[in-house]
Amino acid sequence: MTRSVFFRFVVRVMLPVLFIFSLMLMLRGHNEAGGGFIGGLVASSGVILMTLAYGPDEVRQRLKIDFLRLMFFGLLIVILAGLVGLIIEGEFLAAEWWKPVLQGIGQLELGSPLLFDMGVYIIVLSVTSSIVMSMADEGERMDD
Amino acid sequence: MLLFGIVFAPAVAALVLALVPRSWLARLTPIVPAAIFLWLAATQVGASEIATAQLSWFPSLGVSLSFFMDGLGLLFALIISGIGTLVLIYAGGYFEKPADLVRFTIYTLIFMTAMLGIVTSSNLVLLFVFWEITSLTSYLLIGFNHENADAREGARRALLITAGGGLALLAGVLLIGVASGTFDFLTLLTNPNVLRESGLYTPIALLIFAGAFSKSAQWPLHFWLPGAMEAPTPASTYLHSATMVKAGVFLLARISPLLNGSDLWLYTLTIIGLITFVYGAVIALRQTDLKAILAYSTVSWLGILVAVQGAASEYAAVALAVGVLAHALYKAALFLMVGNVDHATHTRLIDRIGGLARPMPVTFAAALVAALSMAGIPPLLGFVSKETLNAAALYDGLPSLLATLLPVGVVIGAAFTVTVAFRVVYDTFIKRAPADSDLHPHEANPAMLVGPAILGMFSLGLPFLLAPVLDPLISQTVTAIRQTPTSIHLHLFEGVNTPLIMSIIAVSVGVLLFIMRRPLIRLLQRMPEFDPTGIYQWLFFKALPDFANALTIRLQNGRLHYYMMIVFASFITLISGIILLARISLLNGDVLADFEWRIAVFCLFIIIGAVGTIFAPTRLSAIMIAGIEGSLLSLLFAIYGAPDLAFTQMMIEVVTLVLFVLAFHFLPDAFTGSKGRAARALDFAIALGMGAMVTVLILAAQANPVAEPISDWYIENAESLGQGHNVVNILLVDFRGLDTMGEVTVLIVAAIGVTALLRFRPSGQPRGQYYAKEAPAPLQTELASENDDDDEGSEGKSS
Amino acid sequence: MQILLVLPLILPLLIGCSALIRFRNIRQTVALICLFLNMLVCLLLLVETHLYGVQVVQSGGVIAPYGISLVVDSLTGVMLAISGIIGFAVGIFSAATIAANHQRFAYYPLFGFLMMGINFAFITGDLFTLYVAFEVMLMASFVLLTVGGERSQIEGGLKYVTLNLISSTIFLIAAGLTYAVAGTLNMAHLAAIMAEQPSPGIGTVLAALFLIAFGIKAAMFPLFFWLPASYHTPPIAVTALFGGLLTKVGIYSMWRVLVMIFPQELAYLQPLILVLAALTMIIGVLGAVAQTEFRRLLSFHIISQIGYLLMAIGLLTVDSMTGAVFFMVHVILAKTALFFVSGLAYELEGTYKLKKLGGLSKRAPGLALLFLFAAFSLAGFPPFSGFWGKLLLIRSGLEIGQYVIVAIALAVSLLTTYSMLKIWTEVFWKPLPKQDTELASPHKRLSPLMLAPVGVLVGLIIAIGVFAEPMYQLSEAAAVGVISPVSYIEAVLLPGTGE
Repeated sequence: MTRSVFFRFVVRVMLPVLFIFSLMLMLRGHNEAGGGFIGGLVASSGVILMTLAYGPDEVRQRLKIDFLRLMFFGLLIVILAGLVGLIIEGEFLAAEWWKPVLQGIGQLELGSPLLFDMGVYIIVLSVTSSIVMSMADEGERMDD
Repeated sequence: MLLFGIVFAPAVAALVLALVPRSWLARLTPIVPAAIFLWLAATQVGASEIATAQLSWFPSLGVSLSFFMDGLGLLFALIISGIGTLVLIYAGGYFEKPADLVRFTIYTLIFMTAMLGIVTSSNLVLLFVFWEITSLTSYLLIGFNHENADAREGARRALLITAGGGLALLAGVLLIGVASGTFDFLTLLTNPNVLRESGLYTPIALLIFAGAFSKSAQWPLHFWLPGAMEAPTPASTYLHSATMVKAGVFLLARISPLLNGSDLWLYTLTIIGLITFVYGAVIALRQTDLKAILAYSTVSWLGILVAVQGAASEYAAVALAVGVLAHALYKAALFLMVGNVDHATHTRLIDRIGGLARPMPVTFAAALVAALSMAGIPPLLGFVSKETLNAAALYDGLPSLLATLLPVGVVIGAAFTVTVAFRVVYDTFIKRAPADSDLHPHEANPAMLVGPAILGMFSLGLPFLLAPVLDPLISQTVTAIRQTPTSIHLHLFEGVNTPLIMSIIAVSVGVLLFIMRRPLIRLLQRMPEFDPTGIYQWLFFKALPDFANALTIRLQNGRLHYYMMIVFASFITLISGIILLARISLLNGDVLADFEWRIAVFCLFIIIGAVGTIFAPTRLSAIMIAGIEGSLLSLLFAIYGAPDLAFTQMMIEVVTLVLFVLAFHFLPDAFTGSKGRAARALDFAIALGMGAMVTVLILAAQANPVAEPISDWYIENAESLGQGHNVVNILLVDFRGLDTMGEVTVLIVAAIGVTALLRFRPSGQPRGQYYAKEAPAPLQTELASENDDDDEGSEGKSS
Repeated sequence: MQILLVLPLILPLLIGCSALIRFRNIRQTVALICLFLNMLVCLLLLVETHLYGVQVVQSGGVIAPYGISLVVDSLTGVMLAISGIIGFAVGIFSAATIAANHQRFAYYPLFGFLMMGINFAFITGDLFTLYVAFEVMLMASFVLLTVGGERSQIEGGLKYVTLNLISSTIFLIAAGLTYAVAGTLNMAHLAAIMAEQPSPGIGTVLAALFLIAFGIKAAMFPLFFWLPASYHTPPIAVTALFGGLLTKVGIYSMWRVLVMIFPQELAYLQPLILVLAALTMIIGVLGAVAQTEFRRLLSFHIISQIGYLLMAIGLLTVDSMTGAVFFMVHVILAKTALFFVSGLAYELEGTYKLKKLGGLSKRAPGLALLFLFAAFSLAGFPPFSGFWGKLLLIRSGLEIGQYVIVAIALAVSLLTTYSMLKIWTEVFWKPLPKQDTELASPHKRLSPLMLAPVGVLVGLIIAIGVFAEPMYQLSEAAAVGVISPVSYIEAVLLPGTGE
């Protein structure tokens, strides 16, 4: 795959924006348009761009994340989010909220749904990324 | 409760032997049936009360472990346990390898329990359970020497025929349950006409006949029995002569009080039985293998035992009872004799042996008595039996057709039986051995002589003990068969009467035929024979596999495209059929009122795009157009006020597009495998049909709501219960979080799958093979190849 | 007892997460422990439902019909218990037979995900969640099919996934339309609505859509092509799991959706279903007759037995459904056991071809005995479980005078005997063909770990045959619960009044 310098530059600029945007999407999901799924998709589009720009091996070096393992952590988080409700309220997946008021910043909304969304985010991100990177790997090898 | 002990004791012994597989233990097992025999003889013969035992088993179905020991069951139980004892003793001398003896003994003991179960069950389903177990043990015993292909084939044939009959019997038994509401025989007897009046009488009778005839080897289902002769001789003696093959005869006798009296019963039993009787006797004569001769003569005798039951007279019941006993005694002795001869000379071909009387005197003596009994020569039990049989054939209640047919048939069959009996003994023991034979016969070991000797003594002795021993037993049996208290007095000699004259004619003709046997046998051997074995072979091993192969290859032809067509075509046919038949309305006012032009135009674009994908020249262009389609769709979501959905759909389109592009890297650019015009037209029609069906379905659903949707609840409760404003998200993580959990699982599995497919492949396979830049040719390997070494083969017909 | 209903989902998911463990042996141990616990939980659920009636959990505490209800009634209890048993048996068998390099690629995690999908399908009381469960099953089974990357696996897997995706699509359409028509996806709610307002028109269309969607899953004629195309390709433990459980989830879904939700609409489809049942039986068994390869032969038999289960839906009486549940349990046990045996024969002689196999009754008498029991059970001989299953189904047909289907069922049962005898004759009785003697591994012996799962399953087959009454009670409760789902509906929609 040919990778133009300009493309790399654009990607480098866009990446932080994309990741921050994706996190925002996930966090605000409960009240406004967004959520873990779409957040994860946006984040993975970042990884896709990186892969296209730098090639899978370099991405792996830079990110130092094994997406194949990460997705299982995501799943564990999802299960955990479900168990929170089970333990506190006796209902699996029941929403438990904890809303501390932080001086000067405002009210923080933490809860098991947020945890659940985080899990989903991680899973979507890592699944998409790992698939794209495996395929890119294969493409590299074919071209060799 | 003792009845449970009687029925299950052999099975327990089998279990013990299976756990401790020692030959000395196997040699001890005859004690079990011997004890049963003695107990039955001592307490049950002449008993005024019928012993019963009952335990709950499957009450919801009306099946219980209920046993009773009436005269009919008693007669059979005595034969089963008595001959069982002798056969087990015999086996101790017959088998050379200890492992064989143990295996044989285990099978035989299980069979014994099953057979005792058949004759003492009062619950018909229970009876059927035992019935099938006898078929299974018979299968294992026929295939005992399974390295021999004939043994395997004989076993399979026997099981297929008897199991086929068994299925009919099962249906018959279940129909009895449906018609009467009970499976309990004793309950049925309290209202003996319940089946005759039920409207299901004919199917029940026919199904029971099919079961009984297959088990008791009636023409034309008899052919499995000669094939069963591959079993070791003790098994043939026990199962395929003395006991199991009489289970059909027993069943008819057992069920007779409930079913007899109709023309169906009378004519079917009499005619089929008579054909079997004459056919078996004649065919027996032309055999050269001693066991085959005995097998056909067994077929023949089973025929007459069925035939006499047609009329259901008292004579018939007597003839049946005495006939079963006499046959069991003499035929078992003859089979054991064959075992001894086989052991001594290593052949059973009657042409290859002769002159065995001198080296094997005890065997000869026993065989002689048995053969004379079989021929019906006084003063042996066979003579008494033949007298009762003749009397039954002369029963004056018969319709005129049968009144002539039956006596004539009986005499012809009996004559041939005489010839066969004489031939077996004369050619084996008296005739000189052929000059070129190299026999070194020796007398059998004592264990193998006990059986024939004792059986001979019974055949010889019982006629002189008619009053003290036989009369009470036969009376009990006849009482049970006819369900009316009867007292029978048998006589060895009743004076000169028609039955005696029939006997004399039969013996005379038999002797005459015996003298002329050589040309007669040659004639018989040249005669064309109707042999159902050929039909069976053709049906099961030619027609059936051929048809199955042709059908399966045609259906399961390995082409995914065709599979999809069938699925889609089924869908279109079924759904459109229902919509048309049920006249479902597709439009109602609400749907039309919602119509908007801008949406319609929008949809038109989507449709145009969809058509565009068909004409896309390359994969890349096709997927691009599909991507645009998806984007338009997400716009549609946006128009209808679902920004979340629109955004997600858009992102999915993007990611999918990337994935496709990456995947296409491995595939040829252009579509390959162009098809003919007709095939494309068919594809087009099916695609159009599917699209139309889905459209119609959506319209139909819109037009025919039955209840209000629950979605308003979500909007109302999102804030209070979900503590958020984004209903979609609350639905996903909160109200229906479980779905989301499932879906992310799917994603994870997909990632594993892709990784596995790309990284893990059979060792030694070059990577490039997967994505050759040309049309792949795998489907052809699936279709072709009758080749044995090809592991893939076609789907329908594995090579 | 909240946790008990959730565990059949969480435990398999934990097996999935065990992929994080780097050491194969620990991963395997964790998986086997979870499978064992899953089996215990499922059996416990069965006992609990039998004693206390329908168990319901509203996930997230959202009241029905708005949330997702997890429901265990008698039918689900039976299905969960049997799938728990099979799951554990296959787990052990896999430990004994699956090659190490296969395990590298997340064998047990995939297995766990598949079990999760199966349990999910049984336990959910929501139509859309059932769809999700099907997706989980489809994806996990597809990956299990293709891991290994043999060419035949890829080909089979492609057909498998394509045809099953069509099923999923139709299911999704049907679920969407059901929502459009009835305004809910909760099965209890749907059953209540459809009972109040039977709609012979659109209701029948919906029932037909579900019939097709589940018919593909269940391998009903003429939608079964994916099964013979793929089942003989993966490692035998996988085939055993698929053969035992997957198509049965399709049948279960028919019971749950067609019989419970659309009984009145189903009445119009009954003649059609009977015809399809007959054809499924016949085509399946003829396909088996045509085969000369152990696994393919058994695979075609799966289709044939699906015909019997469809027949019960076509007859649609309490007796027929009771027989069907009984038959279902039996056939799952027998089929899995038979696939196990085929795998062990392969272990010993290195082939699945009947022509090349032989002599196993001498070489492995224990295996021969186990096969004999399982095969005779499948052929419907007493005193094994299959006898009662067959008898109950036949009886239910005779009771309402459906003689044609009964006759066909009996004839097919004879052909089942025929093909079981073919295997027995070729694999066990026939001496090992000479030319292949050097190919076979003559010194290989079966480990107890390989035989134990077969032994347990065959033990259950015999136990059900001998103690048929308790099994019948369970089956009857399950059948009644589906045919007249009053207690199901009450337990889901009116919590607190049910118990």
